[in-house]
Amino acid sequence: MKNRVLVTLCLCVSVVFPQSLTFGQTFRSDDPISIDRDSLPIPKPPRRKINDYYDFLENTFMKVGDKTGRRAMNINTLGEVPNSSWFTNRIGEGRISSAEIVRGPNQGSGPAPGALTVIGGKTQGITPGFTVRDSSGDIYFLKFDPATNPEMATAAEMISSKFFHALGYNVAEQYIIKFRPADLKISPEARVRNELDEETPLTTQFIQKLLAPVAHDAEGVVRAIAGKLIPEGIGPFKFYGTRRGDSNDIFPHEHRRELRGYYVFCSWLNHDDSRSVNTLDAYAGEAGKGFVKHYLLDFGSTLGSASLFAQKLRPGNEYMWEARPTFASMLTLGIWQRQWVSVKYPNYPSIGRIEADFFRPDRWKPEYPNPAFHNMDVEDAFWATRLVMMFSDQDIRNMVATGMISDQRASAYLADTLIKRRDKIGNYWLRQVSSLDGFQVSGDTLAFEDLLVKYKFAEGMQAQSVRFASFDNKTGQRTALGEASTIRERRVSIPSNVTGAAEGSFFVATLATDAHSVDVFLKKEKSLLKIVGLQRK
Amino acid sequence: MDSVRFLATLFVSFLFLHTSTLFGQETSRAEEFEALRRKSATEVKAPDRNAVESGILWVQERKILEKLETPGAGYKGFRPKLGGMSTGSGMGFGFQYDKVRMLDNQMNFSMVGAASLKSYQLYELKLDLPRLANEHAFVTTTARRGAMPQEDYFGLGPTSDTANRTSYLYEDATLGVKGGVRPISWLRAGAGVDWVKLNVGRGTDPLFPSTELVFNDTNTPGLDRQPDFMKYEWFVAIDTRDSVGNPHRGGYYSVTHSQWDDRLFNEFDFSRTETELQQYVPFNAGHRVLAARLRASFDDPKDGSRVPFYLQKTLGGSNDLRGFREFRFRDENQVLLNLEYRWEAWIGLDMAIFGDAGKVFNSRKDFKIDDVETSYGLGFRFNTAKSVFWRIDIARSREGARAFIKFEHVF
Repeated sequence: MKNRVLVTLCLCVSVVFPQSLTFGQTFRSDDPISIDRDSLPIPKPPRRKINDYYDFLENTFMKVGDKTGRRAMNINTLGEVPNSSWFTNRIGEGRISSAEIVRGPNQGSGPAPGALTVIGGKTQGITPGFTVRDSSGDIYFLKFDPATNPEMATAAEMISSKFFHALGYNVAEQYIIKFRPADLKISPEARVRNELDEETPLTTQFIQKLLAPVAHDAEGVVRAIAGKLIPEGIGPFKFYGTRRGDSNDIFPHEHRRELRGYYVFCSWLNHDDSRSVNTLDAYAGEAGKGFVKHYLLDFGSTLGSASLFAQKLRPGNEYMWEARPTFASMLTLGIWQRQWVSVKYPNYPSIGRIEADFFRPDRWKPEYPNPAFHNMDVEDAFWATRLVMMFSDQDIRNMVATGMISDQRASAYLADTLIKRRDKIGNYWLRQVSSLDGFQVSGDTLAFEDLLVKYKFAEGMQAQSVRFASFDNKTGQRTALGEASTIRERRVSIPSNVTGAAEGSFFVATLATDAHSVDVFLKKEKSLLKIVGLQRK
Repeated sequence: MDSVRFLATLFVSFLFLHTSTLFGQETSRAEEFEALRRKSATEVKAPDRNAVESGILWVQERKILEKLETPGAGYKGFRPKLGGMSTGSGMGFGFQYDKVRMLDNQMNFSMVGAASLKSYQLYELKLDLPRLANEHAFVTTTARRGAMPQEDYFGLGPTSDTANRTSYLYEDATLGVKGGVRPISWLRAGAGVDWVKLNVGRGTDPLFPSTELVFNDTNTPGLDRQPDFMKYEWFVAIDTRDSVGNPHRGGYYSVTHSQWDDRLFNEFDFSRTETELQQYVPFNAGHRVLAARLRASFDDPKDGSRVPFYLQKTLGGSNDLRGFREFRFRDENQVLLNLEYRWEAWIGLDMAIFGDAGKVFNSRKDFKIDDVETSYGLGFRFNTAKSVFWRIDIARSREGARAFIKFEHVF
């Protein structure tokens, strides 16, 4: 009896509880936040491994992650990704110089002068290589170019790591180095596991064998990409769910905007290998008081490179397994042909295979489905596209130059291709939502820009219908303030009852075309109007 | 009681979460996230890996598959051997022992013992020196003992009848050495010598009579008695294929000449010349391939000699005339042409439409192009870039349809 009373009481209170109070306010006092403090001290989570075969099977044939189509969860009220252990706004903040973009993650100038000492080898995996210690004790992992494509993989790794860093991701420091194999020292403790899985001393013969299929120049010098060791690695992250043992990790990865929008960046840079095995979580900070920082790794299979050879025709165009084209090919005895098979690529061995004419920003595909990519909505894509468009032609040429590609025509082709792909991305994704952006309040004017016009994808801004409404921050209710007006210029006058409203009042300006609209939320604060929210539809 | 606790907890949580709002103190976004993180620290999250992934990872980390495949790996060099016996032997199982990279990485040793459900047996010792002269020369010595108690025999010649299907026991013991040079990567030439001891006896296939009950030594040379042979051979091979196990371009062209010397009766001396030409022509950026193979073998018995039936070349089965049963046709000479149109259905599967044409014949003047046996069919080849690891071929001929599941490419 007592229980029944308690249950009834709970239900009654819950039902009559005002909705506004149960669901809180739309905008909080600190919105929009620019930092998500996900670096609360936690014990070091256990190291984990991801099996790449299982990762393929799981993502291809099983239902992983939440695919309910919800909006990204880790964004602020402006739709931006706050700085966190995952992402740091760099080019997005607009305060990064061209020199900083080009420097990327690199803090120094690479391995210290003097002989490199080999301390370990890697014979397995896509890209064999070995680990070296420089004269100052820093550890680097060296990877090489295939003999058929000198400069290709190392340039791709270098260029892409800088792009991803400028975009905001955590990546390892990367340096292009050159050395003579004979100049390498071998640590007496260096060990390698042979094909029989026996641990054997790492010998000169091992290095010779490993370097045999690697590009050497006429003088026998080998070019390598030296990736600086990220300390305290605890294994990769998955593109769905959260990591066990990391209580800072509260947003399911498939609902993180920087992982959903990663699709757009990967499509731009042709990063088909954008999967869990090429990520790394690392424990940063003092033992027991640190937090997990999330990195992207291994960009050897980007641009026109597939690390060990020029990129093949399928990657970027079709998943490793897709039923429809497979059965179409089977049932038509191969007469039906995939369109991408007949795409022509220029012959630049130091670039590999990348092009921009056949490329479609919405049809690009990584090696296999990615739950975060699957959840990418047009707002995520807009966010990412805006960042892509922030790279000027000159920025892109400067970035490509960091790949130190000897063939100037190849280098120019790569830059031109990236510029063209960038523009295709902009011209497509900016049209999927309202392309208005850069909102600013100046006195009694709300100014903005049209990204389609800014980037010359449209000659003039489409006419926008503008309507102001008051906004109840507790209930979400809107009350129209006057009639809608139509504007053709990139500014709109704010009604006097908005500019003169009481402190703490909220308003929303809706700018709409037939296809898209954007809500701009304003808050009266310290006698000024502040933009506190943006939502595109 | 559980539902009561749940609802009460829900209610209390509600109150706590929104007390601040009720009293006009809103929770900031940062405070909300921090609260969620502190709550997350007290929750037990699902394991990062399920049992299936853990299992696959366990196999991968211990390199179980590599150890099964790699000579010298396994348990102290011992590995189970599955299959790998002759066609029609049934499921075979055995053990293999390898010791590799002896004598400063120059020598490999292997030992195999295997048997099948149809009592086929194979024992083999091999000593390989594959990397002599900086990998430009090689020597292999082999000692082998095999027993195949249910080998099919339909009679000789192109007109043999399926109604005459019989079986016989074939036993061999071979000691041999073969060596050669590889002056450049695509050229191999060499020579070998084998001592071969053979025995033919009563077949044990319960469904078909033993060969000697249907055939005799006159129409089946060598049925009554089997000599020991010394076999001498030389060979030249040019191999420009891009991948031996799954070629898409290039070719393979070889000529082998062997001399079979009857050491007991001087009744079965003969020489054999075999030619194999393979060509692979890719198109559509290598996603389609036209593959062709022409194989010919010609035996020349010494004056008065005969070629024993058990050493005559055969046609039929999964590797040549696929619409016919294994060993269906047998004679002193044969010509075979295989044409395949292969296309990539997806990255792990190539399909093929194939046609086979071939004929066995006793004397070269008997060969007529208009009465060759033909078969055609459809193939599924599950592959990696380096090899076909699973092949399903479905073929049809005038004698019906045949389906094969094999763990190697046809050519």
